[in-house]
Amino acid sequence: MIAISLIGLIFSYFLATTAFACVFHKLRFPARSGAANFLLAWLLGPMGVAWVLWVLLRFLPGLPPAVYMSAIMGVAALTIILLRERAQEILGETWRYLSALPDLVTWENIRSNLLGSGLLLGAAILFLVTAFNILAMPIMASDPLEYASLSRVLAADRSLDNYPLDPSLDTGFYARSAHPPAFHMMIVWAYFFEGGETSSRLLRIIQLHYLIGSCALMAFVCHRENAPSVVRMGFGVLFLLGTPFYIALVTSFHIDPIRIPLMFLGMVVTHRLLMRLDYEGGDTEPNKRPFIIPALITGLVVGLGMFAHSIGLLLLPFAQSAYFFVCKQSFIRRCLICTVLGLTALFIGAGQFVQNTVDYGVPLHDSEPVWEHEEVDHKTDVRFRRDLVHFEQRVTNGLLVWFSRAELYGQVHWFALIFGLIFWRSIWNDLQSRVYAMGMLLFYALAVLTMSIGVDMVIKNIRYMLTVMPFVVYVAATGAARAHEAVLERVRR
Amino acid sequence: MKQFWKEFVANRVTVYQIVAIILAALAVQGTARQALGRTLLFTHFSEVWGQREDGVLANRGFPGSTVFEWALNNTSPDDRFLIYRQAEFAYYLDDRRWIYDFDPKILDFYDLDESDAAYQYMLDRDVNYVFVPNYMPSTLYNSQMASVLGDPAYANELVIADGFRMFQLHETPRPWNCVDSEMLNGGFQTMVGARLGYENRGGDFLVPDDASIVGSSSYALLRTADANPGGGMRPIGGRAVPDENGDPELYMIWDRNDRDRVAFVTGEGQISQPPNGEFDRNEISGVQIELTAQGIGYLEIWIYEFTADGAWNSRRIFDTVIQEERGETTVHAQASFQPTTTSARIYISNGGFASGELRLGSPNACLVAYEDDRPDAIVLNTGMEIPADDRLPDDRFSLSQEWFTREDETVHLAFGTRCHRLSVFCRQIDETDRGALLLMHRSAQGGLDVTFPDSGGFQLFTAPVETGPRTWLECRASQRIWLLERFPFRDGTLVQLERRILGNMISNNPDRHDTRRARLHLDATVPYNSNVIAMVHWDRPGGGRGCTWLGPQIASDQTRLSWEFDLPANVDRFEPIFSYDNQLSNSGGIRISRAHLEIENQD
Repeated sequence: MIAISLIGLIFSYFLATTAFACVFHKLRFPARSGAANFLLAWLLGPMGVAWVLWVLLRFLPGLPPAVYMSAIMGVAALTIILLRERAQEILGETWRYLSALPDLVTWENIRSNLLGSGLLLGAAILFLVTAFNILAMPIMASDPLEYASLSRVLAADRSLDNYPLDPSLDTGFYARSAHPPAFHMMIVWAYFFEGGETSSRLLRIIQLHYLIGSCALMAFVCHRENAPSVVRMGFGVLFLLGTPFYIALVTSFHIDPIRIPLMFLGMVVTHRLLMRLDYEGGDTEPNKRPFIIPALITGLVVGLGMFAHSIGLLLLPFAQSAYFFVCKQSFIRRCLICTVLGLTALFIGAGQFVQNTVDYGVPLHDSEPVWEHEEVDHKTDVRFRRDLVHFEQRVTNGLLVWFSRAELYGQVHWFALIFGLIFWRSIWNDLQSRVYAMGMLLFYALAVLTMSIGVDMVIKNIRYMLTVMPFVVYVAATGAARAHEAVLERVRR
Repeated sequence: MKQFWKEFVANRVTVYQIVAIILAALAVQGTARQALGRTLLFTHFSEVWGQREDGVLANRGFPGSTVFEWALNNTSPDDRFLIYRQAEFAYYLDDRRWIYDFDPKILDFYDLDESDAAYQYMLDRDVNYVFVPNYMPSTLYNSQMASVLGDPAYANELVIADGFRMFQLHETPRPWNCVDSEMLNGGFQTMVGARLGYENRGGDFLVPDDASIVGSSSYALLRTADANPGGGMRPIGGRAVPDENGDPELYMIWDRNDRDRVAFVTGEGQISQPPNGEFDRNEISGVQIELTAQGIGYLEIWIYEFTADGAWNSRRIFDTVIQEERGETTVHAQASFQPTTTSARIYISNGGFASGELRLGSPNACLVAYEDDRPDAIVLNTGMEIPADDRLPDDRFSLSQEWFTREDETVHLAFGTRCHRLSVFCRQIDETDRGALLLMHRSAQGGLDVTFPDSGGFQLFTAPVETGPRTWLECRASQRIWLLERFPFRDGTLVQLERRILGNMISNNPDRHDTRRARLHLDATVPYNSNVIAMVHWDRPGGGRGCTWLGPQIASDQTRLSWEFDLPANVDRFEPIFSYDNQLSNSGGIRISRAHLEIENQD
């Protein structure tokens, strides 16, 4: 029974991913190659399912699970059937790439690129260990258990009446988290496949799917079409998997390994938008290229990134400002493109934020009434327990925690800083780095700003500080590969 | 065959080869499993997968799971819990009923000022169990519930595992008597320098001095963590002084260090050894502690429990943030003893967080004897650790000493050493700025730098040092030394503070007329890459003393070391001494399992 459920869940993700990829391929954005579109759609598959489920539960609550399941999988299947030629291309091309991979592993190739092979081998080992841990560990962490518990309620109700769960149920269960419920929807979707049971067995597939997707995405962006480099790719994946806290979150079933790669994906697609409209050679001038469809798709990806978690809201300004300040369009067209992108993203991702504004008066709601209670004084407690009592501590253990706590963040931020200082020119000349740098700068500005007005929102949680980690990994990997090249040049000379 | 390997290496790695390698690995794994009953590399995946859901609460790796398992098997859906962490209840015990501390329905509870009102509030809501995770959230310690849980009349600890605790709330206040105990009233000794997370393994503490027990002396304590010479020591410390009424008043002060601890512990002797005074377990069910705290900082209370044969374990029973603005806070805490416990120590510590200053007043501890039946705590998966029979005091080598002065005075410092060169540097730290969070102002004034020559005999150096009021005097050896004996003079009296000896194998020389060749053997467990140092102190009849320096040897883990040396003639008593200096890690200590000396016969 569990095997059937398992295959069903994996198949539903496959359907959704392929459906996204077909649409992307039909519209020839974000990539022109079918395999690349499939890869970029990988992280969106479960997210798209979650989004549609959320819409269905909002407007058509209370139906049997089979209705939702057949509706969503039917839509995905219909998309694939309508675009069946694209689907053939995509899957064929993806299969060709995958089946060609073993042929690349030759002793000759290994000998000629020892460093790259070693890095990939290390990454592969880390990946296998992490994947094993994902499947083997029970859910023990506090937040994941609450997500899974609240999802039980939502799955039983098949409605969003109890989201956020306030006031508490008769059992006493209370969960007032008001993030966009993407993760809940993913869990509910997995519960549906268990046919009435709500165990944690299938949930692990979500995390595994996103681990594969994150590694593949990092490898993809590090490989860079114009300058392929196995070493850069190896560094990228190894740095990603070599961030201890990230892996700890993956294996303990936290939401962060889902929202962080989605945020990264939003910026990756923004970069592709810049390439398509401004930087790639083409028949037409940048100012004359059609922008509606690429901007719509970018907006879709950004919107799904916003739907992943409250912090996803930052993705919209990140993407918009990255496009606005890096592109070559006229001012009017810049504004138009950013508006199309923004409206699409808001349409997809703003639902919960609108609801929060109606319910609580603010779009982001990350508090509890008891925390506000003067006698309880939650803020001081957090500051003491997390070593954020003094201003200097808020700087070293909050703002600069990337550098001060290697047991959580590894060395990747140090690498990014050092290589960034040494190779700043080549990193600046790389368009991707510039796009990601915009995200990093805005995130950091937000952290500094909130900290300086005495709000610990961003710095108090070490998980929030992981938000821009993939950007940092990319810069570190680019820098490390550049350093390797520099050493090779020196040796050859 | 050769051709095969040549092709295997020369050609590309095929999928078949990879599959073959994986299958071979699995076959090896399976064979090992059949033969040995266990796998070589990983747990067999299907086992893990199978137990994930059903056996998850029985999984000992799941923190606190046994408390939930107990609740699952021993409570009914009619019971009502007050819980301070919801996650596990919501997921694994979702047919139970509870009140979550975050629930806005009980916001008015946090306005209550009296513990009996808080007790009644929870009784009115049918609460009969209270679940507290392995930390105390501010919703607990900043509400009257902390006092309720600290009062044996209202509640007692019922199930304890991994620091997670289930209290039972009594249906009516249960009368109990406070039994006085020598164990708790022998005063506090201070401990400085224990490192975060070491509470569970008391052996890693510095050995406290008898001299620092509060009682007759006004001055006490003071030591810094120095297991890692040169590894960033900071002035931290505490003191315990009698107040006007003669009651002990404890004062903790520590720098922004995040790691080192200042602590007070009841009873004499090393913390991992049972204190004096056992109690009657037929009568006593637990211990209740009450003290006042003011200042700023993080405060923890731990209980160390010992069985009659010296086995022990420890756990945290209270933790809180003390804030200046709240004025004096009264802390109530209680712990139920485990079934085999016969004596206990209370340990009060800064928790190692941030910097701070705490003044703890009128500490008072009672052994709890209920007037009706004694409830037994159910303790799961926290067995007592039995120390090795032959475990000698697990000591660290102390290179630093601090004194805290109250008024202008002249302190005479004396340092003595045998066997090795010694260089000492002292300086004063004036505690001038009390208002700021940074409590210590350091200055390098008043330094003195002395060097002892290499010597086989005992060398003593003394120096007067002028101190001001509220001065910390910190002395530190500026290089590694192997044996340091310190004799601070105070008011003209010689007080021997400590003498660090790791082995105490005093032997008599069978035939003392000639120089003999001797071999000293040591079996010990030491941390990775330690220098183990040996020396032999000897006495001659009629008063001559001396020392033979045997020098360091590098050792790791379980090790056997031998030193060969000439034992001088005409020595009637000798005392081998071992110490160690750990260069790479600051964890662990030396554990000597056996040491013996062979002396060659002259014939």
